[in-house]
Amino acid sequence: MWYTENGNMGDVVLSTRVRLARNIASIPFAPRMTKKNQGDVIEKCRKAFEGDKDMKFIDISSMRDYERQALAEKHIISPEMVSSTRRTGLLLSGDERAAIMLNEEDHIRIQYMSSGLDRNCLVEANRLDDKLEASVDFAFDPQIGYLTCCPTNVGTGMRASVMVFLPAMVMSNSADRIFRSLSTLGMTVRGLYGEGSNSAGNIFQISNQVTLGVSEEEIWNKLEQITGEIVEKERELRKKLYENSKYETEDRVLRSLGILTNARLMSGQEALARLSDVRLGISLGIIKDVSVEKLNEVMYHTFPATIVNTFNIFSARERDLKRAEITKELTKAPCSDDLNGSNKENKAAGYAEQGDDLNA
Amino acid sequence: MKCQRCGKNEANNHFSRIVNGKKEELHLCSACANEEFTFLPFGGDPFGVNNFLSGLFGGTSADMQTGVQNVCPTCGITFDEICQKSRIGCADCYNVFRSRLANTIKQIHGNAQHTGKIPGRAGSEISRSRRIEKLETELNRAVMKQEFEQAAKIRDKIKELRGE
Repeated sequence: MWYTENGNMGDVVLSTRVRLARNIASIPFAPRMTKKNQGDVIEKCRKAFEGDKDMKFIDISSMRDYERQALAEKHIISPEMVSSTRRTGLLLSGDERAAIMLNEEDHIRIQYMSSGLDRNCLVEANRLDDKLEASVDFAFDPQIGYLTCCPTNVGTGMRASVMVFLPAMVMSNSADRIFRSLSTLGMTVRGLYGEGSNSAGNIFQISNQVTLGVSEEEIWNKLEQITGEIVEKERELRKKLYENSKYETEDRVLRSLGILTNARLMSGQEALARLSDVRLGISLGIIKDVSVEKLNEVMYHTFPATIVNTFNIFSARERDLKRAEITKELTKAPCSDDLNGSNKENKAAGYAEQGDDLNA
Repeated sequence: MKCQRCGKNEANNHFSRIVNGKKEELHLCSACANEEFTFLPFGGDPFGVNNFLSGLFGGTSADMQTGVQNVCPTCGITFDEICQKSRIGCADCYNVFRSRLANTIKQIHGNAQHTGKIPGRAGSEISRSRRIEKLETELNRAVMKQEFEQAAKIRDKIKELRGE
């Protein structure tokens, strides 16, 4: 799947996403929607993709919490959708790159995702938009553009973002300074898995702030240009880091690999931090027998809801035990059968002890 | 300190983070924190824009004005509710509250004119007038440069678009 691939500038850019917010003209927005309205949105959009065998409909409202959460861990649905009490749905392509969220904050959130820095996301999101538009009347105003539930999204309704891996910027304490200057350029930076610039995993999301008064192309070009500069800067800092403290860097990276492949209990937080070291080690050529694809695969499999969903493990302690087994796979041959769970088929029954804490 | 989410209970969960070099703080009661963070690290974003946007709408009930429309006739939302939730009720709200929303939109985007994609069907009229505008600028430029042959061609195109 796209989220495990090593794409363009993959040593720094993990993935790209383009999202378009749309609403149906004749249906009230989220704060004033009835259950019937919510059903109408889903019906209209499903109809627009009728006959498209690749786009499958998933009824998110009927899914269990951890199943929704597992989709969010792969960025296929938003965190808002995980906790939504509205009737929510998803149109998802076979390769999981195209995901149209229905009844998220806006009636329609078109997303296209890809690994690395990939302009194709803009092209494909636009194509999905055209397809929907052929049968659905969008709320649009010549002056304000596409009308959205929150005025921060009006205009193009477009949010283009990249997930970037910036360990050297964080280690050299230059991340905060760089993020501040990005902010003055109209870009938003978020620590993806935690708060602020000390995000576990050193993974950050950069996206455009402004959606009105700029064209889709302009939004993309700016993100592409800024991302390119960040990639260069991060690569330069990594090189410097390795040159200035060769043995310390090697020690840190190899020590983390050693822990990931030998520990018995592994928390989610520790896994992210150690995997970050290994990712850095691969890009510096210190670790040669682990591929980026394998690393990505292992990373996604260590997320809490994904473990619950794959292995039916609800207790935090057992999850830590299972997570340590998963990270051991890093140095094994590229066979992922073990990661995909052997008891996937018999998981239809309900599970009582579901309330367990998934944060561990 | 009261919880910033429900405004009722005492806040005993305190969060802070740095976005774009600015420190943001959030204070929640246990019940709200649990709801917001059931699935951390991927759960809801307590620093979501809705928690900070209401300031941009310039206050709440005090802003209710006499003599102007305070309720959207289409969806029934009040301007007060829009301010509180930082969410718009329906497409028509943008028309009904146009002048009051214009300021907020300008503050957020620094721009007030859409220049991006126009939906094909609903917007065919808009894209036609945008093309005519563009051609008229080209026409003026051609006339200024005394490129009359080119100007005539552009004029024909404009006529065609206008259906004359």
